[in-house]
Order: sequence, then structure tokens, then C-alpha cells
Amino acid sequence: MLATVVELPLRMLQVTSFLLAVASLFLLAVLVIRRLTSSGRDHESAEKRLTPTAMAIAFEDGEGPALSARDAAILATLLSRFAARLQGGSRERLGEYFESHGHLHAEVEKLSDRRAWRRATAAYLLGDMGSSKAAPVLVAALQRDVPEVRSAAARSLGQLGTPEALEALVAALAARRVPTGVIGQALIAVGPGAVKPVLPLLGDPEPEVRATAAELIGLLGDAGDAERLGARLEDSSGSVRRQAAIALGRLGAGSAVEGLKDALADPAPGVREGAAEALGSIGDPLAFPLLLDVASRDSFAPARAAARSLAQIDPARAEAAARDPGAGPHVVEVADAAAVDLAPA
Amino acid sequence: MSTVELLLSVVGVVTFVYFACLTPLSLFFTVVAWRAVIRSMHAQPHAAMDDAFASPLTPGISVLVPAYNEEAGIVEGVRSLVAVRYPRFEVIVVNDGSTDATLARLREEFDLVPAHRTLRGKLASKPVRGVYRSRRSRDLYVIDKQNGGKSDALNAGVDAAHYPYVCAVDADSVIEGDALLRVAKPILDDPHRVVATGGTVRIANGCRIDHGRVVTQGLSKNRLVVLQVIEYFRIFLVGRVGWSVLKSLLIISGAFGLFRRSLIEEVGGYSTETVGEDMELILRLHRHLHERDQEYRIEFVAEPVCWTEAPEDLRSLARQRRRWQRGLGESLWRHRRLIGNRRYGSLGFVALPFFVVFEFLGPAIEVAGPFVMIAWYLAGGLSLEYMIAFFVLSLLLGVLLSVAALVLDEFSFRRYKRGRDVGRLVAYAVFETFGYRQLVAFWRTLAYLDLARGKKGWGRQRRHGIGDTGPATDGERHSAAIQGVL
Repeated sequence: MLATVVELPLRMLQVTSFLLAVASLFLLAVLVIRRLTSSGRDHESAEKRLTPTAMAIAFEDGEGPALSARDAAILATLLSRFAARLQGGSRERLGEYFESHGHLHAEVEKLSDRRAWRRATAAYLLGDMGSSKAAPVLVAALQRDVPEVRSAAARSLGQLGTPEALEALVAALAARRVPTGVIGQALIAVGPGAVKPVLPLLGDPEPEVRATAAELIGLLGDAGDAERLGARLEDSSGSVRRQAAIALGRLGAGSAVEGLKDALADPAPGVREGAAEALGSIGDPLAFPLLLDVASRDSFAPARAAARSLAQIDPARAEAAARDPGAGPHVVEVADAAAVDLAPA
Repeated sequence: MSTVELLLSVVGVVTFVYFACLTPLSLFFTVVAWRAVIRSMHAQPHAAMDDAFASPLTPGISVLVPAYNEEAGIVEGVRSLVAVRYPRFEVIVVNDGSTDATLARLREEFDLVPAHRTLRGKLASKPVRGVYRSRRSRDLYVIDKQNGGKSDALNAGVDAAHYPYVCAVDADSVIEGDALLRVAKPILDDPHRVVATGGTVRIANGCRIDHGRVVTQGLSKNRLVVLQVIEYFRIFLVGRVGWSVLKSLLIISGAFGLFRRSLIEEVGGYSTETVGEDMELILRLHRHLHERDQEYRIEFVAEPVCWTEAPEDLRSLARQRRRWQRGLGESLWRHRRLIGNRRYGSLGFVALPFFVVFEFLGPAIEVAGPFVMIAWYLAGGLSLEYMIAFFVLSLLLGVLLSVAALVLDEFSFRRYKRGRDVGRLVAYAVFETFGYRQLVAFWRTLAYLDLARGKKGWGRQRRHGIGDTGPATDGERHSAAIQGVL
């Protein structure tokens, strides 16, 4: 009886085996055909061949010879790679080239493709092409599309850096529509021009947005922004206070020294760490005793940051302090590292 | 029906059900992984690695290299690490009480001088004997400590790390120039949710390595290595990618994994109680984050990031597989409460039961299955056609999965340029189903004995060193734990 039960699936086994064999053979055929017709090496050599043409177009206003469709596509990829790294006249020239040769239009069309990866690739390339005409469609993608495309659009809007792009990026940061790392990087690509619209986000209800805004202002702003940042040292969120402290240090804001000294007594270790780091960047010698105290007594992260700041402010004094048995291991470590750096290799 | 007949038919039915489930599941994984890898290939142009490299937001990484008797490959491995393209990183080699010339080689090559390094004191490890800093490479530190095993060395490294992320790397591995950027990219894109990432590990035997760089990728002449190359294709390109898509990645290879440091500290560091410390850590992270209802992601990057030395002789390979299986068993046992537990989502309900059935118990079924079928046939309980059909099916499934993984690589990373190498891989993909797979399954079943005896420790493996030819050494080794079917 049992044998009959087991015999039942025999047909199933045979059919499955047949299907597996067919699938294996099919895949093998695909592999062989792919190997034989593969364009990997041809693509590389075409890129090499077309590089001088691309350079002529980018730097000498050349038009380049008439090309086959495949070569034209490879040339466009090369040019977009160049464009992403260029500024000024050459970038504008390439923008015009993409427009006049229909590449811009083609990528804009692809933003309506049904496959997300195609839309994301198009959004990415539109940023590289450097034509501000792409900004409105990218803004639309940033607002409406799936996360993958939104991230690519954000990055490209940062590359374009037009007022319209900037506005959309700041709105996306406030709405947390794109991961903060991506939007932050896009705003950094825009440059100092991004500071003004980002400043109001220091008052955003979301701590994550306030912290990112403080971090960005520290990276892109100047000492004039210190006052608004200084107020954030009193923020209710520890991560905002920490980012504000680090940002003040990056800006070298001398006016913030007192606030930062107070922050060395903050209940959150991350804030004390940020404040200690900032005081080192500002380099105020009057902060030395307070930092030495933090370096000797505080927990690991703030103590380490304070010790590093001591070496930044006055390396000789830090080395002298390290000889005191009560200085703590972090001060000794920092003084020791400075000595290794100075020693002839 | 006699007891023997009954037993035979029960085992026979179990074997049949096992294959009846494994076939569609494996095919499903292949399709899922295929889609994911091809998608990631399309996404590659806009991965914006250069932006990530230039960004001040890119987080710092402390690269940790536990080393025990690694004199053969340590210099090449560390060279590849200090030359990696990443804006903020440090390399901390932890010499775990080596009894060979590991420390001397490092001292000689990197001009080490004694230095101070304060440990956080959050994770316990065996006493540190000394700390050294390189005068040739600013960000290279060596911690010399008493022997305590790989996990203990990693814990010492985590405790000494200065950056918010730590990347554990095997001492005998060679890292791709962009490896850190690639695995850090998911964190850069989503720093709040992504807590750990891993990447594909490939086999370095047969590649030409110069000054810590893989210069040409070739296939080793050693047959055993070629068989492992195919296994790695299946494990990483299909298995890991598939599990990552299903949000249930259970292993990030010890050969290369990036973690948020504070989280490792929170869960108490690497476990020194198991040889599968990489899987055990991931399980603990999943458990910790699930129990706190935190939204998190553990991501797998399909691109090759790291090249590692594979065993070239049967004895070493047998020992390695037996150890991996033991590590798997230990990790599963330790976290048995999660298995089948709905509270842990797809992890508890899908991934862990899969690992129990197909990875842990699977080898036993694969080894016993054919014998039972033959015995059953001889006892007259089974027809010849059925037995043949069963064998053909199991063999063809193996062939298809291996060939699919090879084709996937061809369409994505295409790391083997020479047609001859690909031809050999295809031939071995067919050949491995006749003997090699069964042999590996047999070695893995031996781990049940080790588990029953409560065996500890790593065993020994003959080392050759990668890149510049170093002397072969015999020693206990720290190695990447990866597992079999998927």
C-alpha cells in the first residue's frame, strides 16, 4: 500500500527533473551566447577611442564627428561622467551639448518609465548633465516617486543647485522624504547658498531635522550663523545640542565659547564630547583648564575629545599635563601620539 | 510490514518531502536574488561612490583585524587595508597571542613603535600586553593581547575602536579598494535604520595579488578550490542576497562585516562561547532590536568586497566545514526561543525554521537519503524508476542552482574574464553534484558528534598565505563562517 503512495509522485519527479534539465540547458546556452557576443571588452575600447572626442567637446567647444548610435550613447555616458566633475564654462558647454543632441530630452522621457531603476538612473544622469532645464522634472520626482528615485533626484538637484532645486531639497529635508544622509549630501553639493533656507529648520518640531540643519550649517555656514546655532545648545534634544556644539566648533565661533564651556557639564555624554571637540577647534587657551578637567575625569568619549582638544590648543602644554599622574589615560595617549607623529620615521 | 520496512518508508518519505520543499524554495531564492542583483547592477551608476568618498557626512570606520598565527598572510592583508579608499578610518590589528612571527612581521613591515591606547572598558577581553602604532601608516594600530580566541580578539578591538562603526575583517583576506565605501553606502543613505552591512566574499586562491591588491582574477588550478568558488557563488550571490531581500539575513561573514559599534557594545560584544560568532552576533542583534521594537535594517551588498584564502586540501576543508556546521548548531541552539516565534516576524517564522531544516538537519538527510532509497529499493518497497527519478532530480537541482549562480555572476560582476575559467566553472558545476556535495554534507554531519560531545575551539588548518608567497604554516585559524545550501 505504502509503495503505491510513494509511486504516486513518480510522474511529478519525472516532470520536475525534465523541467530542471531544460532550465539548466537554457541557462548554459545563455551563458555561452553571452560570452561569445559579450561587448565588455568592445565597450572598454570604444570608451578609450571616444575619450579624446569627449575632451574636445568639454574643453574646446568641439562638435565631434558623426557617430553610430552605440558610440553616441557611450560618448554621452563619458560626457556625463566628465560633467559631474566639472564647473563653470565646460559644464555649461556640456549641458548645451546634451540639450542639443537630444540626450536631455531622452532622459526626461525615461523619468516616466514604468521600471523604477530606469527612472532612478535617468534622475541620476540628469544631475550629471548639468542642465537646469531638468530641475522641474526632478523636483516632481523628488515629491512623488518611490524612495530609490527620490534619492537619485535629490542628489541631482544638489548638483544643479538652482533656486528651485534648493527650495525643493529643503522642503524634502523638512518633510523627511529622503534619508537625511542623502539630502544632507545634496545640500552640501549646493554649497554655502544652502545655509539661508536651512536656517529656519533649526526651529523645526522634529529633532532629527533640527540636528541635520545644525550639522549642515556647521559645514556650510560662517561665523555669522553662530548666534542662531548657539541658541540650539539649549535644545531639548541631546542630538541637536551635540550637532550644534560640533557645528559651532567647525565655524570657529569665538562668541560661542562660554556656551560651549557650559555644555561641558551637559548631562548627555555626546553633547559633552561635541563641546570638547568644538573648544579644541576654536582653540581658546582659556578653555584649557576646563578641558583638562574633562579629559581627566569624564567618561570615555568626552574625555577623549577633550584630550585631543588640549593637544590642538597647546601641544606643549598638553605634553606637560600628561606627565602629571592624575592627568588620566586620554591625555597620556594624545601626548604620546603627538610624539610619534613628530619623531622621524 | 516489518519494523525495518516501516523505518525505511518513514525516512524515505521524509527525504522525499525534504526535496519536494527544497526544490521550489531554492528556485524561489534564485529568482529573488537574480532580481535583486540585477537591480543593484542598475543602481550602481547612481551609487555615487565618489560623492560618498568626498562627503563630510561619511561616518568613520575602525577596521578590526583579529590575528592568530597569521604570519603567512598578515602583511599582505594589512597592506590592502591601509590602502583602502575611504575618507576616515583606522586599522586595528589584534594579535591574539600568536605563537608564530605575526607580530614580528608587522613590526618589521610597518615600523611599529609602542603607543598608548585607552580601552573603553565596555567589553571584557583577555589582558592586553602592549599597544603599537605604525610610523609608516598613521592610522594603523596593533594591540598585542593574550590568546582568547577570535571573539575575544574582536571584543578587544571593538573596545579600542575610536570610530562609530567597526568593520571586522579576517587577517588572511584581501580587501577591494572600494570595499568600505560599498558597505558603508547603505549606512550613509539611511544612518538611523541600517545597523550592519556585509558584502560578498570571494576566493583569492588563483588570483594574482600585489601589494594588497587583487591584480588579476584567475581560477586556481586546485580542483578543490574551484569547487569552493562555485559554492561561494551560490552562497553569496543567491543565498545572502535572497535572505537580505526577505529582511532576514542571518549571517554576515566574519571575513567582512560592518557594524554600528554602540550596538555591539549594547548586546555585550562577540560571544566567546561559539565558533560561529558571526552568525551568533547577527542573531543577537536581530533579537535585541526586535525585542525593543526598533526599526532597523541589516543589509547585504552583492558586490565583491573581499578575497579570502580557501583550504586547498581535503583535511583542512573537512575541518572547516565541520566547524562551520558546529557554529551553526551552537547559534541555533542558543537562540532556539526565536525559532517559529511569530514575535520575531519573518526571522522567527521563515528564516530560522529554514536554517534548522535545510542548513542544520539537511546534510543528514542528504547523506542518509540515497542509502535509504537504495535499501528501500532492495527491500522491494520502491521501484527502480522511482529511485532513478529521485536521484536524477536531486542531481539536476544541484546543477541548475550552480549554473544559475554562474550565469548571474556573468550578467552582473563578471569577475572571471577568461573564457577558459568560465568553461572550467561550468564543468565543475556539473561535476560537483557527483560526489563533492555529498562529501561536504558528510563532513557537516560529523559536526553533530562535536556538538554532542560539546567540543570547543577552532581546529587547525594548513596556511599558505595569499599574494607574495609566504611560508606555509600550521595553526589554529580565525576564519569566515559561511554556510551551505543557501
